[in-house]
Amino acid sequence: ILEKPRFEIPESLAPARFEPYKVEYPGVIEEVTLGATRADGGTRESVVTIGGERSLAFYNFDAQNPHTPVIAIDIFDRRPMLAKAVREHYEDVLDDPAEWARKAVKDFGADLVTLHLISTDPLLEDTPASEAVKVVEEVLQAVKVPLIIGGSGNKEKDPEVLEKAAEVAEGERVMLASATLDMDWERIGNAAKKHGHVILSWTQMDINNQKTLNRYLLKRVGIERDSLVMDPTTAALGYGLDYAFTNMERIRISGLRGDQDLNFPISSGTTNAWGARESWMIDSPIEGDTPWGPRELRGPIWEIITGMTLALAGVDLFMMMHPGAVAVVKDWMGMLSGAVKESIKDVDAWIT
Amino acid sequence: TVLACQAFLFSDAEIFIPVESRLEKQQILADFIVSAGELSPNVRKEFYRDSFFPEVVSRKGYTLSCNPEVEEGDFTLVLRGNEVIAVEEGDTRGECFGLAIDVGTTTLVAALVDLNTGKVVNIASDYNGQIVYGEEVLSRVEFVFSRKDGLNILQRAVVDSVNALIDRLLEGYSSPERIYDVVAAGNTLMTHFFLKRDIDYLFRSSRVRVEKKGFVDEAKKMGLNVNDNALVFALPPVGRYVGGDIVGDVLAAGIADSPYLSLMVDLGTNGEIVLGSEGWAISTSVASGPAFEGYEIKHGSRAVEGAIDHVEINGHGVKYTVIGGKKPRSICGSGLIDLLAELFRNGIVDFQGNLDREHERVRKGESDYEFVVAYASETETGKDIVLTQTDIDTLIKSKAAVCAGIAVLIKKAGISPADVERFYIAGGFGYYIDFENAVTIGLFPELPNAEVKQIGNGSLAGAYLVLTSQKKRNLAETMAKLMTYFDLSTDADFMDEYNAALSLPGKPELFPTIYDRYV
Amino acid sequence: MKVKSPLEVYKFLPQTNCGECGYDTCMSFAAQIIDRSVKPTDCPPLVEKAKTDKKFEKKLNELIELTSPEVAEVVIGTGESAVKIGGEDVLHRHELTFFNPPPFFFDVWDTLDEAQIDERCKKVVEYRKFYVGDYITLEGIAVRCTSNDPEKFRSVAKKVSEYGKPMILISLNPECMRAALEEVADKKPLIYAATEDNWKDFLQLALEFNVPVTLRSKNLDTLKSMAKTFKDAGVKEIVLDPVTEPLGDGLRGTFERVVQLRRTGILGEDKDVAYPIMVTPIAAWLVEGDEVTKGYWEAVIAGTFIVKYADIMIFRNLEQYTVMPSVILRYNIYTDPRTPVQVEPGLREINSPGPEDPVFITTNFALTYYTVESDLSSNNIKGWLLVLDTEGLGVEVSVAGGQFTAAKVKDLIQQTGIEQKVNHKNLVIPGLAARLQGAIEDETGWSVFVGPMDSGRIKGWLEKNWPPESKE
Ligand code: B12
Ligand code: SF4
Repeated sequence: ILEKPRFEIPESLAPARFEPYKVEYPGVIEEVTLGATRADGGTRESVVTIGGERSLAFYNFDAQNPHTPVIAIDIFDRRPMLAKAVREHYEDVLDDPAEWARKAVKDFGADLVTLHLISTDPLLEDTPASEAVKVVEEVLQAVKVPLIIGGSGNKEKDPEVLEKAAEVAEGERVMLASATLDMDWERIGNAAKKHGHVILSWTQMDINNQKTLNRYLLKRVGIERDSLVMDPTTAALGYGLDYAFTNMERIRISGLRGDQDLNFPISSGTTNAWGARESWMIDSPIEGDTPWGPRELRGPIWEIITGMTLALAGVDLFMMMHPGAVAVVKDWMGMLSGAVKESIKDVDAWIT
Repeated sequence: TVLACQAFLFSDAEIFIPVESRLEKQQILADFIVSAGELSPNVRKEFYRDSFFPEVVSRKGYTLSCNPEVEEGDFTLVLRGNEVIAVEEGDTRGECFGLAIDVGTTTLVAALVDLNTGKVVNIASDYNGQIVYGEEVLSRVEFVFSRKDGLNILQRAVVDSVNALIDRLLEGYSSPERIYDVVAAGNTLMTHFFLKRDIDYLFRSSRVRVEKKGFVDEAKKMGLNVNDNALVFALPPVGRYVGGDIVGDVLAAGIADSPYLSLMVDLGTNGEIVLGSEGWAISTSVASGPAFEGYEIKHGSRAVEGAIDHVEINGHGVKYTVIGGKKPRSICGSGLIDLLAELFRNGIVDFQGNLDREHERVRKGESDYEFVVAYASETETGKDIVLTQTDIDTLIKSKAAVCAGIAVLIKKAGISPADVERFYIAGGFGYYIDFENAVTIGLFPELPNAEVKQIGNGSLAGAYLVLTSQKKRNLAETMAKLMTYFDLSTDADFMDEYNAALSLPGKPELFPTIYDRYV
Repeated sequence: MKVKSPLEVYKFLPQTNCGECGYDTCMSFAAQIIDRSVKPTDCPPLVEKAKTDKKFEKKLNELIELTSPEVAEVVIGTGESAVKIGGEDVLHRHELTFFNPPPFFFDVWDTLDEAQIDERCKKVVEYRKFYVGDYITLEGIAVRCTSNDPEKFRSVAKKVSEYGKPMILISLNPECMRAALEEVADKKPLIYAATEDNWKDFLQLALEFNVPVTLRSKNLDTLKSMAKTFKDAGVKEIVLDPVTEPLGDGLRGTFERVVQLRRTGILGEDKDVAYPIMVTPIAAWLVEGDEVTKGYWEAVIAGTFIVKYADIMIFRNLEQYTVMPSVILRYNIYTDPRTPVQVEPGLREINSPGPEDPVFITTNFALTYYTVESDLSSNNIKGWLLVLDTEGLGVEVSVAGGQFTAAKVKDLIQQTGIEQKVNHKNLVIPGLAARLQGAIEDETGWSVFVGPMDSGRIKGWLEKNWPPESKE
């Protein structure tokens, strides 16, 4: 028998100390509070504060980040086109924004509500701004969480719609979504400043334009540094999520490194995930594909993974839709931020 | 008014040529700053008193490549190394000349050089006769491909232009046969046309490899009006888009033999950019477009008489200087840069270059908004001189390509703008640029530690250096071999930089001080 | 790699610009080394000189050390299906790119009956997801020993190895592992795992069978000391498993351990921990709840660590709601941000079109093609989609850059034989290619209609403009 080759197997493990490499950033991300309680001239019963980070997302081992990201649920001022997996949760409230807001907060734990005034879109009902903002009052009465108000995306009309909405929501410190470079950002910025609201500064996945739009809002409109949130644009998993992730990561790192034009909280329109075919299509149009399985299970996980990936890039505020997705992302963030402690005892069990 | 080339004359007629298109003598930058410390030309003369020619030749071990006019007595040998290229009666040492030529696409500049002292005796410039066959290089390539004898005709055209220059240069100094050595520098295609070299291989595939050696030919064979045995040496090309003219720039700037990290930009229709130091150099070219030469700009022009070449805006007034001191009729490159910089500093254009429509000197023109630079009363043409919104967008796209090219080269070398120690600006138009304004509009990134030097017509300077120094002649070839060319047309880094440069001043990191002050 | 600029690499090269490496100058070769598209040993003169001249040998070795990836690279499996893991250089993809996407291993266990083992193995081998021009597949199978019987584990390992996929052998019991290795060691499986209790036996196994080994410990000091011990004893291919805990503070701790391991390996330059990292989303199956809850949580854990530094993963769930988002997220995060992605040019049929349905044209840039293709199919538009080869560039870019030309459109119409498939000659072009309308009409003889700027608006556009009144 061949003598088994002998290897020197040491008696004991070599001594070693793991020295974790520490990273410290000179900059800090601005803290922005949304919503105003009675004491501050509003009628909200809860406010939300985001930002304030000194380290990357969930890197509390470098420096404790003061706030866990929050989630706003989208509601619309007229019946919108929704994927089946989403519509089935809101079937009963699609025509009643106030009820819809209540359901989003009571049943699905929304930290805020995003009210999209899409009926003002000239391609849809083209409702005049003064009329469309009545819904804002209804929703402000219906729920006591902070509110985000969105226009229709129409360049000519949104400034007026958001101006009216800002007046109606005077004192409530809502967030106006949003000012962009190819829209009258000065008018929207002034509306937010005049009525004490927060402005959402939206650019198309371009870090330099984001820096410049922020600087214009801060220097030329005079927006306070605690009243600006950025939306660098969210693309769905499989449809440009990597561009969105890298853009946001570069923005957050620049902010932490001390760039005073980029150290603001970041918002993500995670609902864009529902634009991906894999989230709503019944099955794959490609024959060679392994069957895609039930779409009711594919949609929510698409929104979850899109949101989680961008959370790791530094997003502080998520605009989402599917209640299941909201719950899972909330739970996951709670764990990573140390709020949700309870864990599994025997983690080796799966091996045997 | 009609276009001359589309009108027929049927009787005597009086023709009025509008002021703007009168062909004034181009203010071609002819002076170049170069020191010829170590003078070692390729050709020298030796005088022999009362000697016997064959005896001298065998004693010295020279070879003969001409039939001597004289056998014995007093004679002067003209030597290229150990080769006797001419034997002249008497003592002709005083007349030993060389010719340095910048073979430009549009303009030729030639310098007559005394090879005994290295001094530039005379300079002349004129249009390149090839213009008739195409304004810019690609149309001349079309011409060569469309006609069997196309290459022949193009060579004829440029050689005739050079011979005309030679006559003007020699007037009162000497005669053609006293010019014993010719050095030329031009972009790759111009070099091929000048020495009648086949150009097909340059267009067969995108990853073309160019022979990085100097082109040599006999002046007589080319039809040049110089000494029959003179040789023509053309500086070696580096790639399809970077030619001998850029090697000339690099030699003139002395990048190859200085320890400093140097950046060089040659601003013409294409912007050629070189980053390098002792022993290495990387280069690229960008389609910056001719906007800075006045093309595609409503009232743009080259640096000619009557062109506004410097501008200042204060309070409400616009102050400007005009080439030739007369009334203005156009704006040239350096004037456009000053103007855009001043508009941006005074907030008359925003970071995307949009005109402030409320400003008193901004009005709705025929097609789009425009800023009035000079009112009709001040101009020679009797019409307002304006800068339109489209002009501004064109200028921004042009400067974006140059700035993006520089930024990408710096990124590929893994260094930062602050590491650059020397910044050379070459090319005729470059000589007049106000560097501070060029940085304000983002044509060049901020180079905090770089000493800025204008080298003017670097191509001519390079040809002069090679004509007067063996060391530089060898360096030209090693430099060409050393230079690595980066093709940016589908380079993703370039697009990021280009996209970011499409604003004033451009990508914030490249303009820390300008961005903070004006945006 | 330590060096960031070609200038630093250039100093080590012969600087003769001989071109043998396929690049015309040493400087462009140096730039390729920084991009990691070539290795120092691809310069023949350097390698030759190193053989004869001590000075060059030192230079070559130093260059190899300086330009090797910060995190070690480990190969699992053999032949075509082998996978490379680790070998990363940066913490953020925009700093350069991520290189080796983490392979997914799905588990079977030796107490499963044969049919179930075959069913799961077949699912892994046959998995296909069409995305951006090619089919995404699954990489490997993990065999768990739940019988604690060496002979049982041996036979199941042998059976699974016949599927030809890379394997992970999972057992903490050295005897079982030895039995399996005697059978399949030549297939270079990854053995899982050496722990503080059994490390001596596993060190012996790793050295004896020369297979990559996973070291598992929740304590990073122990993990580092095991890695140091195994390396000093001569084991070259090491994988670190800092233990994936699925829930609550466990998940937070896992996140911290994985980030700290990778960051300390690269920025801290601690070579004793700069090894590929194993994450096991399968641990999600320890969570209470039904299969969907466990499958969802498995995808959540996978997603977290695809973004943050996992180099290899073990899964349980083969259902699409776990697999599909994970394989696509992996594809996106590991896409090299520096190169445009393209799809096959040609003709695509959308929703089985008829001869009277419209003909559209777009470009073969993946982002463009998939945007247009999904806008057409999701609005149940029936039509023929011509895909023009613009070298992977978008519509607006290729029109600006000259890759989108009328002549190419004519060739594409001829090559695809579309004229035989439709009874009309009406072509709808992108709004952003409007300026080519005249040229395309002249070149192809078709009537050309300028569609909307964004393919999302094609449905509305068709309602107003299709079928087109006959164009004289
Ligand atoms: C990424 C990018 C690049 C990348 C290209 C990546 C790629 N693979 O395409 C790179 C770096 C290569 C690049 C290079 C250049 N670029 Co570029 N680039 C961009 C950028 C930033 C995004 C373009 C993009 O990806 N769009 C997304 C895709 C999906 O859009 P799309 O392909 O057009 O498809 C949409 C529509 O066309 C429509 N559609 C598509 N098909 C169809 C079909 C039908 C029937 C219908 C109805 C509709 C339709 O729907 C689609 C979805 O919306 C834009 C600026 C911007 N932010 O838009 C500049 C931009 C397009 N580039 C520009 C330029 C000038 C260039 C260069 C020429 C720069 C230079 N001077 O070298 C080079 C050209 C290189 C070449 N072509 O050889 C300019 C174009 C200006 C112009 N219109 O003339 C732009 C607009 C930047 C700018 N503002 O100047 N670029
Ligand atoms: S093979 Fe080596 S020496 Fe030759 S060019 Fe390439 S890197 Fe330089």
